[in-house]
Amino acid sequence: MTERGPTRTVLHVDFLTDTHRITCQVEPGPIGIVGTLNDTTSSLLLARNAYFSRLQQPTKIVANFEEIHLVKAHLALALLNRREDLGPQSYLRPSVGRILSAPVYLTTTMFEIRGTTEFTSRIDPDSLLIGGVGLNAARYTMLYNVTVIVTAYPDLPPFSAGALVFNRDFVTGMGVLTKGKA
Amino acid sequence: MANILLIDDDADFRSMLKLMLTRMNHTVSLAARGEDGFTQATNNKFDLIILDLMMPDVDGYELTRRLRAEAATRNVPILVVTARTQPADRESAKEAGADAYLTKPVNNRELAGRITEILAGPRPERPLPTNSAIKAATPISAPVAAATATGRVIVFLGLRGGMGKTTLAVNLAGALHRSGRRVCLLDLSPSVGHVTIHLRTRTPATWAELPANVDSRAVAQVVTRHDTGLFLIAAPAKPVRGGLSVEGTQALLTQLRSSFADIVVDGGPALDDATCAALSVCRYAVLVVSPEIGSVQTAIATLRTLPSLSVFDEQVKVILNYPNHEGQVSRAAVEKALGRAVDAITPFDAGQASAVAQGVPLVFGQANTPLVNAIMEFAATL
Repeated sequence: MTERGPTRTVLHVDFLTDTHRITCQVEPGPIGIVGTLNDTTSSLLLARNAYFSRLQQPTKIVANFEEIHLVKAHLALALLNRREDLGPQSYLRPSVGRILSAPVYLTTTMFEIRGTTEFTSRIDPDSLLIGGVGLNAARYTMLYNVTVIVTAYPDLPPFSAGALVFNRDFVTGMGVLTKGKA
Repeated sequence: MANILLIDDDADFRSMLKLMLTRMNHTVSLAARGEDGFTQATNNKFDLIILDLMMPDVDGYELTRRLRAEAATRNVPILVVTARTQPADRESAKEAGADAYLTKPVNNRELAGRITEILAGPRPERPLPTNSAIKAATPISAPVAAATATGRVIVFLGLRGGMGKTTLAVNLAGALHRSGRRVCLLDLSPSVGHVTIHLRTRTPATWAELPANVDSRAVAQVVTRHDTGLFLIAAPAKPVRGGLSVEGTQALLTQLRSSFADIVVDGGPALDDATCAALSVCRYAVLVVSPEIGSVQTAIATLRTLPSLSVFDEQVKVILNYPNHEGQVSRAAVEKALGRAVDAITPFDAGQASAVAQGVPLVFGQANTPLVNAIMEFAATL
């Protein structure tokens, strides 16, 4: 008899901290990577097949481990190939309201990020960066179609991703490139 | 239909990709580790190598560079299939020598299309990297404590000239390299060594340029990598008085043993300081004897002397080498005279002359000749 288990989703994620790039595999479960990062019942994130590079040489692998525990609070960014990798849309998007988008520029302690944010009705910096309710109150939130420059090494090729999860605790400023009216 | 080598540490991905490639009527060989993949790639002929960038022992960038530095694999197309999706990863892989790049997960159509494109496309002849370029790409390791010096020292002895000692030393080094070991060949002859003739290298830096204080930095300056992948430290192009000192040789070998799995030493033509120092730390002393009376007499005397140099029976290997078609003395007579069995017999090989002329030792250029087989078998016993 064949037993059917739940479908395993394994994501390839590039985590950026202020010092390292960590390319690894994460199994986020049904709540997706955003939900997993925002899950306050655990401070650590288990990842597998992790390869470490230093930010100044992001393609040079300096260490690798079959299994690592990442401290969620110290992860600045998580780069994902596609926005579908973020998790279930029903969990990520508001259930009502028209979705608008606007390009934004964010600075963190180590990175300069250009991407697109999504919102309903109007852009609310307070909701995006500080406060918010529900999912918006969580530490990690999303941007789409991003490029990331390491501020200390601006000549390196920028990172790019279809979706980005960023840690709001690391953000130092935000600029809206165009007022977001659809 | 192509013969494809797939190198990836992820067992699930290997199985899946093998299935996809087999359904495309390709023949697939698998390697789970970079070192294993490198050995397979250099010992077999493949139409395409598919490799991952993230592997635990040798990462894909380094593996690609090493494959491009090898004569046997420098023109084989390399397709990188990886979960590293950043533009910088793509650029680095291309710089290392990869021809194409796909990101995981791959789909059947995309993979088939890319493979067809690669196999049908032009294959530009890649120049072999220069010695200096290779040295820069694969430096020997940083300074380490003597306690980590674990490489084997294998000293070739033949105190009577013309017995083919250097030929055997070079080919044994090649055989060990072919078996996947990191090998350095050290020519200790103070009177114009012949290793550079066998490998046809312009005499690069030699051990004569080592300073009094031999550290890893100084050693790195005199190690040259040959196109075959062998590392070597050459002897000076002109005869020198005395050769390396005992202390210098020991310091040199300590450094080499921390960077190489095997150090094959082509001993000097006499039991000089350097050769004795090498013997004092050797795992094996390989005594080369040819089937003629003078050589056998020299071998008998050498065997009697070795215990006084702290080289004992269990460390000694005897090779009966036929540098010419015929020998004056039979194997049985040689063994009777030496009072021990010979460990290997290496037959005459007419291809040796052209191997020297081309600068490619027989173990790299010729497959399955009696001499190559004998050396490969002997290497396997060490």
